[in-house]
Amino acid sequence: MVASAPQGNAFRFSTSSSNDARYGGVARWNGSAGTGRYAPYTKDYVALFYENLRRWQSETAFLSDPERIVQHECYKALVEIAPYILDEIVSELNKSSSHLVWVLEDAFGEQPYSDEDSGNMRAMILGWAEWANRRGQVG
Amino acid sequence: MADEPFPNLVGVSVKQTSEKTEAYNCIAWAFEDNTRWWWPMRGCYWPIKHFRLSIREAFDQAFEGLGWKELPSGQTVGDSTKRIALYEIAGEPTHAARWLGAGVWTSKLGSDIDLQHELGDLDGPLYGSVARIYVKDSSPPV
Repeated sequence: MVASAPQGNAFRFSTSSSNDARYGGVARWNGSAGTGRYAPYTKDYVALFYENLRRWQSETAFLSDPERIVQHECYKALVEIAPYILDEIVSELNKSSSHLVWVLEDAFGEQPYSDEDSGNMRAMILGWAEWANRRGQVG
Repeated sequence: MADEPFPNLVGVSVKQTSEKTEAYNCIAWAFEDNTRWWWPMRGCYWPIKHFRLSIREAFDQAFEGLGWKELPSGQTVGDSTKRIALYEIAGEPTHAARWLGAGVWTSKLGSDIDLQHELGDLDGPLYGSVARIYVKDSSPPV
């Protein structure tokens, strides 16, 4: 896996394999001293997710045009990391961040709701929650 | 201030009429819908089919399809006439506000709050300015 953090962010991930919770909280070493690369944990992605989500929401708060909303650099970062933290995103969807449905659409290329429900955030969120459950990533 | 989205609102008291929500946007609110995000794009609601239409055309046809007519420049209408103001930047729609009467308009600011304001209050770098007024009334212009 190669994961790139968004430009301008403190994180910069580049590795041939990733760490996650199954390594028991110890970062896996991927190279020799001086040339090793840090492999991100899931919690790194979660931190990156909230950092980008807060900034994206704040800097697009007054916009109505989705094209302008998704052009924000944080949106692109959210799409990149979405596959690694689907459960976190679904949890956030159920709180108040409805526009993450657009992030999921661009990250996974799916539309788990009917065309008639387009724009109805509640119905779209329900569709994505059911989709995530079917994938078995969210309990 | 160059970065101020609504320079005309600086120091002005406005009436907030809702909490923040991502459930609906300004276009929905202009058409009295607080359940959907309206825009002629994928993932949004739009009242007409907009495949192969430009954003501008999709807006024009939606207003027409819902029974609204553009008010010719310089023409006035009675206070009770329903009206929607469409803001644009370089010919592209950015925002809509709905007339409440007596000089007062209501707007939903993106994912943020609803508020009441005067027409020029939202002019600025984010929304541009009012480019068109649409009316819906069976009574003749006055």
